[in-house]
Amino acid sequence: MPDSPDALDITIEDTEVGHVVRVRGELDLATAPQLAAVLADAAGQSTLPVVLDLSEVTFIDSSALRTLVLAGRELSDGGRKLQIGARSERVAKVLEITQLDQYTEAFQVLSDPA
Amino acid sequence: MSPRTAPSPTTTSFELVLPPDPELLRVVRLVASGLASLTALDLDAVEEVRVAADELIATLMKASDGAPVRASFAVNGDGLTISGTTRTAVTDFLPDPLTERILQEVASSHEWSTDGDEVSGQIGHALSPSG
Repeated sequence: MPDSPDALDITIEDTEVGHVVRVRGELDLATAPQLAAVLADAAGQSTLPVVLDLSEVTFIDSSALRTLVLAGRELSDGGRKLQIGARSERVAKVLEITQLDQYTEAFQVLSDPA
Repeated sequence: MSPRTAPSPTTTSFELVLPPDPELLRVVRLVASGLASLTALDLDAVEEVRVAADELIATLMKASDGAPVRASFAVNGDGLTISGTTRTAVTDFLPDPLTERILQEVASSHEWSTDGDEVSGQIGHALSPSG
């Protein structure tokens, strides 16, 4: 299927606070493996936290949430942290619905600076 | 004289038959939100329908043994219903807990059923604000 404006785009930037992974587009059963691969790769680097910027994610479903939980646990097993930083309203809403913004050991939801 | 009942509202319905390819979830979301936008639902409710449709059909695609997923869309004066069914090799089908939590929030109703080697699901979204 050809790329559309909502196709997933992931960029990584190393900053002083950690590996910032910026995601743009839709996170679902089709695209979550792409994010899983990036997070697995990041798990093998340094000791800094992996900070997800989901402010340009226009859709997220349970498949993508499960990817975040599994990636977070893998990072945690390696002594690293997965943090969710900036996020779109859609992401914030789904995190709230599933209560993953409050109750998960897999990742930390940071105060949204937005 | 017995009270007259209002005529049944027109039902619009159609069906999609999809291979269990997750790339096609975008099509399902587009169709669901497009249909919902033809109703009196507000933008937040249209988004809820989009999310619910994705969770329903993604669950069936994961359960499929490779058989197509038949997705039925229907809307009438009361609400919008999306149903799906597929063949599965899973003998102990259970939807993901995260899917269940999301559907409890975004759908007015949802249910799953199995019958032999078929698994089905249905979500409903009422058109009234009380949802």
